[in-house]
Amino acid sequence: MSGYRGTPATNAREAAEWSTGRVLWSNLRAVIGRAYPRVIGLTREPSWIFFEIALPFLAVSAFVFVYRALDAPEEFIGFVVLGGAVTSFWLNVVWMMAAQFYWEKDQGNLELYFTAPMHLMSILAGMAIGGLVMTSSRALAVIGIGSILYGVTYSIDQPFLLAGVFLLTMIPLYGMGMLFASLFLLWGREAYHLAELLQEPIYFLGGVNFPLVALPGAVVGVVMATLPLGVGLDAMRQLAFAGSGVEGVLPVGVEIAILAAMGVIFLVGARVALRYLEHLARREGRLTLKWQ
Amino acid sequence: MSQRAASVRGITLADAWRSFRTAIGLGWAVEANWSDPFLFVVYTVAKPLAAALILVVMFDVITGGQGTEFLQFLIVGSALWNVVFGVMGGLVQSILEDRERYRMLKYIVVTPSGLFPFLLGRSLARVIVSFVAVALTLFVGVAFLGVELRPNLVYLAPATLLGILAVISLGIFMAGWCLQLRQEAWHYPEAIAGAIYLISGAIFPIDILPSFLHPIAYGSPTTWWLEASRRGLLGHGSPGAMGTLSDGAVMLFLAISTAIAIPIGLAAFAWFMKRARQAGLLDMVTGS
Amino acid sequence: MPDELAIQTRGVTRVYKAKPDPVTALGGVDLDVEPGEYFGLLGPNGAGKTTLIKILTTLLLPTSGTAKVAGFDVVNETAKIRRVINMVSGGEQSGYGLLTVREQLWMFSQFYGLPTREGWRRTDELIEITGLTEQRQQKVRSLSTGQRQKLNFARGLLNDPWVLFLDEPTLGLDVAAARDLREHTISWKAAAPGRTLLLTTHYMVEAEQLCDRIAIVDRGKILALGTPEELRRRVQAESIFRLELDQLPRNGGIAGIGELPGVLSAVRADEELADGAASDRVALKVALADDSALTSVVTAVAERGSLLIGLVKSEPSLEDVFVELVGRGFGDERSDDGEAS
Repeated sequence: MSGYRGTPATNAREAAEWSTGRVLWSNLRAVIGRAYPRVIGLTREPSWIFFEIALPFLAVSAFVFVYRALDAPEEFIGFVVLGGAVTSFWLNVVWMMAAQFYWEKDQGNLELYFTAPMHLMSILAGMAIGGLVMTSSRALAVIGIGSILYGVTYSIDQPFLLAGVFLLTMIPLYGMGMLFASLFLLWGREAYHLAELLQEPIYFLGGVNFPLVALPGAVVGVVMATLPLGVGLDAMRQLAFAGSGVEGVLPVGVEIAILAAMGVIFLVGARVALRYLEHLARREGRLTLKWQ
Repeated sequence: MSQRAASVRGITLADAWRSFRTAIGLGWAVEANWSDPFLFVVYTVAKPLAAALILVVMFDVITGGQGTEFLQFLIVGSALWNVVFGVMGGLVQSILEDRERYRMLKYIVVTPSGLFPFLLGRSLARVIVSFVAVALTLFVGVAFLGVELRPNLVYLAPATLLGILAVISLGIFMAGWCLQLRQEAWHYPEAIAGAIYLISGAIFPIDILPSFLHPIAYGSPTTWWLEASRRGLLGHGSPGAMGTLSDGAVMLFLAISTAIAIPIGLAAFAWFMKRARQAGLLDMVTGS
Repeated sequence: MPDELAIQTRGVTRVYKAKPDPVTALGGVDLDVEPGEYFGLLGPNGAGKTTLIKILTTLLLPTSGTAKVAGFDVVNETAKIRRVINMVSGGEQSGYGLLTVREQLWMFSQFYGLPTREGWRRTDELIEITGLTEQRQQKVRSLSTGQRQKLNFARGLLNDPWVLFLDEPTLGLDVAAARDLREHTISWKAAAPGRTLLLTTHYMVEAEQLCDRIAIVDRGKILALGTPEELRRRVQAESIFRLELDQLPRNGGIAGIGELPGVLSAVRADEELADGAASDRVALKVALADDSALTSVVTAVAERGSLLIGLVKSEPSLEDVFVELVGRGFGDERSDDGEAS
């Protein structure tokens, strides 16, 4: 049989009719397909082990030493270590999803993604999942080495709840990443600075290195409403350092509800934004112009 | 001056200057073009301020605002860190952008002046933006956080010059290294900056570090530059052992460490470029 | 529905916002392409070919007008269109350099929803068909331009598209690589009847070799449409042949040839003889109403005692057609370059 004939349909119309199941499976395969080059890249360029694990750990250590210099209570060291670990996922979202999506446009891949039948969210999910190996390694290294080296003592009464809160935080976080992926394309002519802009300001607003209650009330309110990193980290700290004496902004139960709501909002928002982006791109011709 | 006398290893100084000058304009055009003016301003202001505010809040949470000397130490260190990251990041970003995005690198390499002057010029825009960040952070520190500046320009000027030379050497080294990497290395400068952040006494005194890291910390020119800059801006040194050294000693160590860093950076860059030519990396496009 | 057109456009326009003035890349294009047809868009840079292809592949919206691919509207039914099309552009550098040829193709097969094993199977088949067997484990970034384009072509066939769009597919390729690619395209036609191809090119040879019908495009409009033969007839209705004879025909000579049925004119054209030709050689230029009259001419020449040494058909090229239509050649760029091509 000739290699050219792959489909049993007798005409194009027939070939275009896909069942819902086929659509879902195709998108799932697209996720795997897009994750593949990222995972393979880890094995072919092992320098990431140094850059993505050892060095970020050192950066977290800098903040540990600031607290040591200030003679801070030991739980603050734990806050920094936990914050540094969770930051890894934020960086994955910003650099390996949002910024990467922009760079795909430069490479000419975005055009091919648009003409393929899978949804763009599948591509973004594939990017994120593909980066998770690196990201998780980074987070585990920070938590593991940091906790041992700096003598962090955790007080975890509800480990499954803690794990659940972590996973729940990832949903709106990655939804936000998908939203940013479209915003990067809409707002800017390149992704590097935009991604950089989303680091220190987000670390500050998210309370990565200090308890969120330390910020003014109005700021905290904004964070609680918009930033899954801040909400999730606050909840995780309350669960990982129960009885530390440093309070969270809101009770864990309330923060879980906020995260769940954020998950829905950001994923829906991402879908809407990507659809709008695609429409705008097709209307304005932005996909076909490189340096706009 | 004859052309022969003016040339350096086949490249004339005029070629190098022309390339450098042109690259400055190009670098600024690229630097100022990545978004609309509003977002550009937000980036220029928000990023360095947020970095400083993180430290301020950390300080405030623990001390309740007491001990302004340490706060000044933090603010100045955080402000100046923008230059370290700006220069290093700028050099690496320039080289990766020109290779991967604009596909210009190979064309620059084959010009008479080569890559080096172009790279320096191209990254200068980022350096300038980082000094804006320094000024902004110091302004906020003075205006809102009780930082008292007592600038000593006679001390500060040579310290700044030496410091920038040292940081450029570091950046050149990083740029050459990142050129070897077959996967995108865009965020590697940040990773390296994080490590240097740890050992340079930027936000905590060197004494706090484990003792086995002290030789590395004292060997880094960025450590001496930050200390010299603090003396030039605040009129006093850091808390801890470094603060006991004289201004002259600090400047001397800065000069020595910079004098070592410059040839190392240049030699490393030359070696990395040779290796890149051997491996065909100058026009490689990666991506994952 | 089997009778549905593969591609249909009505009044498609596309205007780009540009400074100082908007650019009209397409100014009202009407096109009907039948299923199974290989259709070419031939025109210079900036003609609007790529803009049209971008609209048909759902990358771009038309400013006005309608366009359908496989009966689905490009504006509102993009998901269905994307399931049955694929596109390959010339000079394409897409994909990921660190993957091997085989991995890259498999990855793209997943974007089209092929089951994993089926994806590998088709990948291996297409690698063999496009002659990339030796490069299968080679990293994409180390491929030559020709190999890269073969890879892109293989990618374009992964999902067995019902409509394949080739946008200047041989751009930048050497003669051999371009020929290979055209042969693969012809093989695809034989192996997959009923599949439609829309090709944009500014290489006339390519258009003539591959396409059943061609539209000549310039400045966003279709200037002429037809088979290559029909297009040439616009410029030169008659068939012109140049005959090289060993001597003048006897019994009426050239005038006698000119009086044969189907012969419009016969003139001597010795100036077209090659330098150094024997002095008694004769060149004739005959204009025929139809190619079929050639037989009687050749027969008459032989009957009148002349030996036919050479026979060449003189045909206008498609560029001649273009010049006839527009008044300038493909290489004469217009002064108001727009953004799109």
